[in-house]
Amino acid sequence: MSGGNLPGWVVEAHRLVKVFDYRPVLRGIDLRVRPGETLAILGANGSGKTTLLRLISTLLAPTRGSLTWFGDPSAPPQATRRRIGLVPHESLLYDSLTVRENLVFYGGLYAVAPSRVESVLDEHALAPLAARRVRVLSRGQRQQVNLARALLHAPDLLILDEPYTGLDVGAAGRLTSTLRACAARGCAVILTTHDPAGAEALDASVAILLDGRLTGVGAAMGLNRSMLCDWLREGRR
Amino acid sequence: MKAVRLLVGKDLLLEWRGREIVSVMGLLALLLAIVLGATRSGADAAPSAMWVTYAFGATLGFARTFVIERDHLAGLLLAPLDRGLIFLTKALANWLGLVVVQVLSLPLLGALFTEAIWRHLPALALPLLLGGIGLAAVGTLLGALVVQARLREALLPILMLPVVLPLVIAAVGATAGILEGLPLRAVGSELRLLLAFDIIFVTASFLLFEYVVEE
Repeated sequence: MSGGNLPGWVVEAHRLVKVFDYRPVLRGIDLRVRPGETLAILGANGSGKTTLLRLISTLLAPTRGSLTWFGDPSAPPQATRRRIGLVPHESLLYDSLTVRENLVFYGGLYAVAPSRVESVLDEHALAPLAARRVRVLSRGQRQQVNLARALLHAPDLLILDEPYTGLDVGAAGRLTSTLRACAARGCAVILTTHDPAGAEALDASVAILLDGRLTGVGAAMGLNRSMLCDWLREGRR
Repeated sequence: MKAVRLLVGKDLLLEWRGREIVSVMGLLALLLAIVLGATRSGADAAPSAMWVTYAFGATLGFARTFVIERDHLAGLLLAPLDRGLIFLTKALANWLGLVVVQVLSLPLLGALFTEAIWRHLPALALPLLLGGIGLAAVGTLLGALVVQARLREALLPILMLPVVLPLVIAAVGATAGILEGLPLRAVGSELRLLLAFDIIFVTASFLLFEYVVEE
């Protein structure tokens, strides 16, 4: 997550500040993520996690500070976006379209071949759901389709906002396997979570966001669980 | 072109399955035409009735465009596309919806106001086309602007109608001239104004859309 001036950062944030209506949400974030690294951002509700993810995913512009993706500050935004996959908290799927129609639509925006849609459906065990409209799917199934959508174009940076929320044990396990496989092929994964155990399962680096600042950074396995919980409780007060 | 086809195709498929925009616009247009026809049904009232119907129908229908898209907008904004293209395809889908409403309402307007609508239908297509494009451009941009507002259905007409007033005045003028049997060159200034309005607002909206959807 941090280090010297090594080349090859997937994303690098420098003194990132975001202010909404004169209220600072992020107060100077420094962040670096390498290819293949998984970074879990922990924090209480309202600590700025989603805002940070929206900045990293190019959906928001910072008020101050800089963000560089893939080591190229002059890359056109469209080229950067092509390499990013986002799984936000809300579903990006169209309820009236079937699972396949959703994937074909989003795949088309990234010039993904239709055969890739079929292989992603198979990889994520979604083929039996392909002809169903999204509105009839469960929360866990939607989350699976949403993840498949974000992975269609094989992004180099995958961003997930509280992806474990509402998933049962089986679905959470499948999500963990997918994210680990993603990191193994060199994709950087950044996710937010309330749960330190989820970060441990992913063998992720951990950053704790408190009051708009990153206050703790370390490998999940090496961090004391009660210390993390104390940090989170402190953030809620 | 493939992205345009995909985006417009998706919007039309969603509209076909949900019928949220054309049905709302169509129903309001139908009611407005009947109310206006019941209160004043002379041939001279036809152009105003037509454009009041289309302008109000558009404000109600276009307010829905980005409401339907609100939860998915992040997916579109994250795609490697020029964000102006998202505006253009939304405006195109909205315009096609308005064309459907225009086509469906013409028989009723003809029956309620004047049969001259039928006699001059080919010439009328020009102000209908140019006026519809302008309404769709302004309505789509402002629809994106108010989508997060709590009172968006009320806010859109308040913002949109003053902006489209020059367009409505020119469209009413051109329509009135055509219905009176004047040749197209006699309403050339109104048609040129409509064309200029379309060029200015389509271009400005294309350029401004990125800033409008940015939080």
